[in-house]
Amino acid sequence: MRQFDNDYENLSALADGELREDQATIYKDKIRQSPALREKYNDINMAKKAVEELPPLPEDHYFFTRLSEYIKEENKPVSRLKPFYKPVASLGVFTLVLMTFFSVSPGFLDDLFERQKGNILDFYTKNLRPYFAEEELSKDDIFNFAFSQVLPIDSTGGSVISLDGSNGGASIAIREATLGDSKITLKEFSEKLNLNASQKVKLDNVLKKYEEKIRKSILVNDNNTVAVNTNLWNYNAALKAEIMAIAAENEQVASVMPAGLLQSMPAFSSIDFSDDEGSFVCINPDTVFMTALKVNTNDPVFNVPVVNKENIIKNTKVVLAPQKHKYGTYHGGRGDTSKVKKFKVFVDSNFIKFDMPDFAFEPGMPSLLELKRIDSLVDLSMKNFNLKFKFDSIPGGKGFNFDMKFDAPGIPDKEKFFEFKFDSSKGGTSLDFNFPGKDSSGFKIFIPDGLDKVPDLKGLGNLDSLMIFKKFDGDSTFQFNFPFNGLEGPDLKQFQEEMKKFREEMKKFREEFKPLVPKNKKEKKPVVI
Amino acid sequence: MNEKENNEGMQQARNIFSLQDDFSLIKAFKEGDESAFKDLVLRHKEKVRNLIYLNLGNTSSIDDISQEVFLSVYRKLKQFRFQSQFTTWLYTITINKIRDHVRKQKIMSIFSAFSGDDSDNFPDTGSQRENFDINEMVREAIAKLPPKLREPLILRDFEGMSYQEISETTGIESGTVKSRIFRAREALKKHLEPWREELL
Repeated sequence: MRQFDNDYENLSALADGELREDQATIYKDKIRQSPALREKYNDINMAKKAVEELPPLPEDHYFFTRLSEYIKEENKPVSRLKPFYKPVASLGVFTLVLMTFFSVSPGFLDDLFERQKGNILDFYTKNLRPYFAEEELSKDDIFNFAFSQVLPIDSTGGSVISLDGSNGGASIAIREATLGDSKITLKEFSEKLNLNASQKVKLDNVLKKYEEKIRKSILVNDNNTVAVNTNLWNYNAALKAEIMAIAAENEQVASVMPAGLLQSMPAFSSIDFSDDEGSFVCINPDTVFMTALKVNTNDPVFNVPVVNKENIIKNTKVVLAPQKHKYGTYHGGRGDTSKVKKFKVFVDSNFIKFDMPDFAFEPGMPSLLELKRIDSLVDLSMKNFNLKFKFDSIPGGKGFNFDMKFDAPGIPDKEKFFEFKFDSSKGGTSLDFNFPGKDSSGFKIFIPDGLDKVPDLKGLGNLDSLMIFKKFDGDSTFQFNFPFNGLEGPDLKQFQEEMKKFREEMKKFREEFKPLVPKNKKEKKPVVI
Repeated sequence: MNEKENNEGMQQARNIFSLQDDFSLIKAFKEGDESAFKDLVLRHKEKVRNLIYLNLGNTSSIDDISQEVFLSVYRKLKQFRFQSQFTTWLYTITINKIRDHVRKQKIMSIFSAFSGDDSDNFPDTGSQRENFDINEMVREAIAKLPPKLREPLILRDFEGMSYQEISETTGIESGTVKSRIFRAREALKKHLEPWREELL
């Protein structure tokens, strides 16, 4: 076999002209004599010819042109620095250039940032105009703003701007309206104080004066920005002071007013507010910031209504979410970097609030501490007006619920409420009192003949009776003569008995249900591997 | 075409086809005549391109590999010692570049099996062709040969190199070259048996 291979390889070499002359002669003879070798030789030549006669590829005429481009790249002078160090060296040089530049022009960056900030400020504060159209805020709205510190921002009253101080700081919130947003109405106030004609005119003038100030304090524009003047807090305090000054003309009211309030009133009611400018908190879906703005009432667009203003103010969802606590920045206006400070912003799904920084109040304005003080004094003097009616509908429409808040020395805070349910839908009058602050305290009475049989209750809505109520606070006794401590009524006994039965039934049920689980549950054995 | 370009073209033609041999051109290049390199390239580029084509069996990588071959030549030419034919040296570089390419393709094929990219792996099978082309059959048959048989066969039958030159180019013994060329032809004959009549 090996001999055959050797012969064949030599035949192949013969075809290539690679055999020595003597070997070639030998193999030529062998081919002549052997048909098998001849056939193999022909096969070899066939294969050889097949390769030799292959046509070459079409010539590439641009081969050297492309190659010379590569060569040019190769011949480019190479930096002594290794590629790794190139970016480092470039960065170093760039830094040096920057350092040199900033040593020559130290204010360049500040100017640049201020310019950018100024541009952004211009964009967001362009064409701001009053949210409330003329005459849109009623006297009731202004009066309610004085004591409840809210302004309705939609036609249905579903959303409000609130001067919210519930978390201890002075803040402005845009939030859903709540039942507690209406403490006392202008009508109630006037009736209970028995205001004379002169006092009513005076009150109207005060309300009108602040309507204009409030209108200029809440602005909105087409760029979805809502701007609120931080003077709103001061307006609120001054408005309260002026109203209470009118109330104090009634000797009976003055007699129950805290001394501090009577002393503060003149000072608050004589604050000189600048009508045209102030610090505004600007809220939009992108950011929250404070800046000084001048309200230009002569601008032609000043009274042009903003389309969809209700949606703008309701959809003020700042992109600071989902982290609820963020910071806004305060600065004194375009080009003024002296007052750049931060203030806390809180964002929730239907609520945005920010702590009013002390620096937002302009010189000459009351400080936050002073504002809080007047608030507490007014609240103290308004205790008797502090009826919070909560009208829950009762089937048939013949009754209502209300909560009453009262204040009396010696009564713990949690006990300063009671709930009163009046229901005349069942053939008589049902009166249901409950004291949520006291454990299980309450009582229920049913008057078959009607409410008239309880004469003491008739004075409930009367200012005089409320004042009496206040005067009697000291001995924890109500003029209603209903028992306050403990509950001895038959309803409680019945309720306690029913609860006892219920507990026993539950206990029995648990006992019956308990064995079912383990019985059906077989213990699993460990798997042995 | 202006007169200057015409003269340059004539000079190139003279250098390539008659006046200069490879060694003279290399010497001129070593002495700083960059145009001598151009002549060398123009003289051998097609041989190199065809060598690559026949070894790989497809045209997709010819340009890249042949450019790499001549870039290598450009970089190393000044170290050329005139101890072998320039073509032997050039084909050695070419064969090494082809081997590098095949090696890379093998590695790439591991990944292309997942990516579905098999455009540069193997030539199409002739049986699937509608238009019969005997030359294409031969190329495909050559491409199917193992590299150790294919390289000496192409160097011999297509490039016309002697066994000794093939030995120098591929680094294998001359006797082994003879044996591998025969085996390559045997394998080729088997592949081409169905088209024997067309080949004769």
